[in-house]
Amino acid sequence: MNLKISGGVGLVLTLSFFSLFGQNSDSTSADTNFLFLQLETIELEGVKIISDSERTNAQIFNPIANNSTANMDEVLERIPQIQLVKRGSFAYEPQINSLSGGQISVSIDGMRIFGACTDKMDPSTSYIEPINLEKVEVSCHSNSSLDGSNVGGSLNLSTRKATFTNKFDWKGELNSTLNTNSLGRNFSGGLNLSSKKLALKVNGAIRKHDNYRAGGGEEVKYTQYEKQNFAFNFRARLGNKWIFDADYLYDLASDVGYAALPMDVAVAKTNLGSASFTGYDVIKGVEKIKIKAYVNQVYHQMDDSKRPDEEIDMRMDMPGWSNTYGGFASFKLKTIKKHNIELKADYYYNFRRAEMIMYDPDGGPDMFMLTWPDVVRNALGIAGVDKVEINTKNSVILSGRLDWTTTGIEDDFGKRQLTGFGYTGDEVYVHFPYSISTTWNRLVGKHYQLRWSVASSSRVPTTSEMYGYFLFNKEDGYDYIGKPDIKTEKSIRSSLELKRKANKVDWTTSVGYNRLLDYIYGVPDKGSSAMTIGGKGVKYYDNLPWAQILNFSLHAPLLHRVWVLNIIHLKSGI
Amino acid sequence: MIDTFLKQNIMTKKKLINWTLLLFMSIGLTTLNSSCKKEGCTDTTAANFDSGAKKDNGSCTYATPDPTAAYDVTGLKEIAKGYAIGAGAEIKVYAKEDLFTGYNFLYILTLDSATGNFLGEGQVTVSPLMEMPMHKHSCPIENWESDKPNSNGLYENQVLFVMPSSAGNWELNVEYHNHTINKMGSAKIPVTVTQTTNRLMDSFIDSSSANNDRVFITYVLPEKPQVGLNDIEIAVYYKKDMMMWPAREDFTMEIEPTMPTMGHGSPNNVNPVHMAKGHYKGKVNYTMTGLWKIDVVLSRNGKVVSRNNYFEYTL
Repeated sequence: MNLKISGGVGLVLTLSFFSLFGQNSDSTSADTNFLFLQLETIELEGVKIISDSERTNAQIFNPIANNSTANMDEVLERIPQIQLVKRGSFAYEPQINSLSGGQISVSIDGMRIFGACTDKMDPSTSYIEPINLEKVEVSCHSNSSLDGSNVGGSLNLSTRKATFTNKFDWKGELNSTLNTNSLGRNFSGGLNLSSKKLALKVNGAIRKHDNYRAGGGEEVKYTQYEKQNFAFNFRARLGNKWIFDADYLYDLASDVGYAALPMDVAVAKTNLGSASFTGYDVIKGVEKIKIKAYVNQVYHQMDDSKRPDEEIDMRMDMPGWSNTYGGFASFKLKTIKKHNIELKADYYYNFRRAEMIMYDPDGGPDMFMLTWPDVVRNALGIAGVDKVEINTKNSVILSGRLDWTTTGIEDDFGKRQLTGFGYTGDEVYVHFPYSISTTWNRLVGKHYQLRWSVASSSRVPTTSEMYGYFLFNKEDGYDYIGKPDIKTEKSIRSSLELKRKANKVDWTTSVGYNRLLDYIYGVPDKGSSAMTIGGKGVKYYDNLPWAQILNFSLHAPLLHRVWVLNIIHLKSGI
Repeated sequence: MIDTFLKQNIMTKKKLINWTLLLFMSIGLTTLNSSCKKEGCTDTTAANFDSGAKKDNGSCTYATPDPTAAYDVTGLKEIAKGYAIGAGAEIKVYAKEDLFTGYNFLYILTLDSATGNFLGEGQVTVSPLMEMPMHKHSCPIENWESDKPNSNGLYENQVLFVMPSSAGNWELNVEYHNHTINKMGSAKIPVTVTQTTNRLMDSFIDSSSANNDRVFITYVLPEKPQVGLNDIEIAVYYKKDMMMWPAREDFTMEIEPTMPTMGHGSPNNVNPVHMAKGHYKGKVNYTMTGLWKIDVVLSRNGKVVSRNNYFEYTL
């Protein structure tokens, strides 16, 4: 399927759900062969979409085909399994089947990245521009163990890599669009320099949007934003078996308005850097080895400097930092009989700090607290996936993962804060989140595919769930306080999916049940008064005995459209 | 942008280097020690005691007793001094900070007025006096009851100054019995009391008492409170007459800390209960820095005696 793209340069957007059939597992084969594919083709012309419903109209899933400077939210919006929580005009938080935050794992090129905003206003996806993007991998069922412990699925964004050519060559693209409703000026561009052994890819985007103007021409205040993004990938062939990659990505969003809040995002900045070696047939029996080390630093600052005095009760600043250092090694083994095995070991260190400074309008002393008190987490994990191709009609995917994490806090002021809640602050908590799953795929007749998966997993509590300190949630009006000794959330789930693939009529229907044990939830405490002015009260994170989520979905992409029906039933078990 | 990466790395490297240095140094030291098993001073009471020495070589030196060594006023500020005529003593008054309206911790040092040497044992009794144009009065005082000073050689006396010096003249009348020469004397030491910015005391008329006593409550702060859970100590006295200000021990107390600027309180506070001598102890949770107001409700036999008392403290 080829679609015309501005500038005549193609890009690849792959939506893969990991849930493909044994015989035509496009996603996995595309992943492994991609590099070599690129060696031959200079640049892929057009857009290739790979998902569990291959004939799903590409136009629908590919906003870039219509608009070369579409933003990340517009890309994610088209993925049926993803729901977006919108807090402003920008940086929507992705959810998979209504699970979010620590319940799903979000990564960029396999690197773990954690936002620096206590209010989840900087999801990792907001640091990527579609121009950086090669594909989005969403795993909403059970085979996400390679990406980290979770109870709801995983989202991985793969960035574009430089391509090699037989002789020196270069390719470039420049795109620009104007959104009239916000006088939004969008520019994006890229350059690929290539040779046989060395290649370099540089791309980036600049956006500047003024306030949004509604239908009648009415201006919606505080909906403006600015963004700059720059990504760089350097590739070198080392011999004929190894490829070295150095990646760097810089993203800066500034002056991001939040119409519904009394504050705006002054700065959201991230630096992502990584170096990796990929080896092919280096060790006997191992098809592909990937070793990667990475670092990312995120800074997020909310303030109200753009707001006039009469609009706010009290001025405040909320800066946040999140630094992650990590690495992983993955091994894709050669097919042994019917088994396709992939193994992975990963580690990351994450540091998070968030402050809240409030200024007395009457000139009294400033008020200060640490909403994330230098929370430090180390996580070491091992994972494995085995895809068994039983016969032409049946395949089974088995996967497992075990993590070892330690979490504690480092700041003395933060430790003092915790003494008010019965802790010394010196406690270090160890968790062992795990994941095991099986998925069975079966071809029924000519046009039907059936998939059934069963999984059990647990996840480590998030920074906010453990150490959040009076984090205001605009949605329910409560301040949230973490519980350091909270237990891991466990999940037992199963899903059944039936898909029809015919020339004209495609549809997919699924039913899933997720039973969450020790479900982490904010429990209101009547005795505590809300810190936030106008807040309703305080909720403490705690483990509820259980909760359950039942979802049905029907994707019927007819006539260039997709209808999604998600019925979610959530019940807390107290 | 890349600078922040580098800075972090450099910092961790520095740390590493420091640790490595320390490690090497400690290895070096141990080798030195073990290689030098020879003669030296083996008397543990000597100033130049050498733990590595095996055999005493007569090199031991002993420090001459320092008259100031018997007491220690580090961290304290000299507030005022005077002479206890008749007891042959100089009385020095120390405190952690300038005297203020509220509960003050005084530290009294007694020295021989002739030699300036530290005087060992004695009896110190402090009586504060406020001289106002029309009348005189005292204030609550808790005297050190022992004949022996504390381990730093100081007598600890606590005073609740109920008003600042701007209202009149504060004077500490210190009576001292010098046990060394068995003589009694007293010193009149004028002191200055300033009004604190933190509101650390409050008073009310106890209409349920027989004489409509004026009751004084004060926030006792041996140390500066911090963010988090703190001990809270509140002392209660009443004015029996101009000179007698005894403790009130029969109240039950409820406290509620709030931030007036934000209009919120804090969880997990514990109401103070009476311990001894009018001192009530509980817990208070200050969840952040800033101005805190601590409302205090006092009851007796289940009936509220006073409701509108409060302290204020800026963290």
